[in-house]
Amino acid sequence: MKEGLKQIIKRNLFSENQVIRQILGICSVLAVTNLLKNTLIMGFGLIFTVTLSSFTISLIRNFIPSRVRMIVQTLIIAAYVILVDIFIKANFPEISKALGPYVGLIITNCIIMGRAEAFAQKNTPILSLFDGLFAGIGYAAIILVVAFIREFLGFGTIFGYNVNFLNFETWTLMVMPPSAFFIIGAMIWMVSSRIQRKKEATAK
Amino acid sequence: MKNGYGHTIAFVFLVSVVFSAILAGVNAFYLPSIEKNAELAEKRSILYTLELDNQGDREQIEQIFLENVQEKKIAGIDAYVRVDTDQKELAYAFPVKGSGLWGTIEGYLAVSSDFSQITGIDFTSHSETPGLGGRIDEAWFKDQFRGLSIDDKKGLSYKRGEEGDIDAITGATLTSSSVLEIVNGLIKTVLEGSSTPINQNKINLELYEEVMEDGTISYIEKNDEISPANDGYEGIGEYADAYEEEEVE
Repeated sequence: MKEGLKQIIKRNLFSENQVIRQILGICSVLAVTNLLKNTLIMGFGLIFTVTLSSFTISLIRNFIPSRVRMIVQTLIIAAYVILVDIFIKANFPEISKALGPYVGLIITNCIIMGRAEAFAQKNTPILSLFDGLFAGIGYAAIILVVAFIREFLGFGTIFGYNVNFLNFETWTLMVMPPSAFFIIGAMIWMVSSRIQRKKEATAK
Repeated sequence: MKNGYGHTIAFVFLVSVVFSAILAGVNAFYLPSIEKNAELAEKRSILYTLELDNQGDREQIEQIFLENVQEKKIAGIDAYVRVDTDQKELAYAFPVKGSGLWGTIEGYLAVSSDFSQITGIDFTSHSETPGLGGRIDEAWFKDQFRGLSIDDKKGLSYKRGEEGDIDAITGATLTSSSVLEIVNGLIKTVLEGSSTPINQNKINLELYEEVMEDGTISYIEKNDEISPANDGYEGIGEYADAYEEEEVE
């Protein structure tokens, strides 16, 4: 059964969210989420890449020889990532320095390859485009939540603006990558147990 | 048909060509502004090490750079010199380079014009682990170097208990050591390159001794001849040249 647009949106944002449910793209979550600004750029970079690569791959899916399928996918993904990298370097040099190698590493972000293999390879270009777009938005939404918690507790700021009105002691751990593990872990736990309870309720 | 060799090769070739062409085009379009950004970042770095204001936009940076900084060869290295309004040299920023944990660390290290202290250090490019070695970019780490005295012939060292000059980065031992190696390496090169008794400090005394151990006593005589002329900080560059010429003879 083919999915409609509505199901695609719902699936990517909630029921099969790439980060929380599929546990994909975790390394970039750890790396960039201590500042909202960097996280936002990373989110946009990924949304751009996954949307266009899904679209492109779907567009030529009937011509891609199955033997070199993944190589071609990677090539297309890499091309878009390099575009993003050049664009950020030219227009946001500071952020480019802060993100460092992580923009280039979007290439290896499992979400993009996952969408290409699981969806774009078998579906029409427009559906693939939306699948990629909402998979990316689902990812960006989660990393922004993580970044919000980390920047607020770690620096006492939101998008660089000081909001530490209570003058609490900032939490150094939140600046460091492991804190993203705790936050993501807690989120996965909450969502999973809720789904579990729902399942049990319907079973009864 | 779709999976035949001919089709496969032709397809991969076509896809590669198309995407390479797109990337090459975009790269050529953005290259000038990327280079400009890199140049601006370098200038910001240099201004930071020379204790000048490095905030502000492109025009302000260019202006500050134009007014306060000159390029000059110091101790055989192309350096950036901070001068005051009377053209008196205050500090020198030297480009530094060395291997870090994952790749090359590049940046600038500046010392005061009497070579007695470090005025600042900044890194323009590195590929150290973000959050660990990458913290060499953080202000607390770089600020430790400001005003550090380099009279000590042993070079700088990390703090162990009471001793040492600077705090290393926890969890980034290799990056920390690399930075120290880069800093001490440059200080050594610069001090030997300038190789003059400026303030009769320990390092210069050591240089004398080294020279003597080489058995070339004439050097010391030449040094003695020239030292009286070295009455200030300004003449260091010229003096280094003179010294080299003498050596050739």
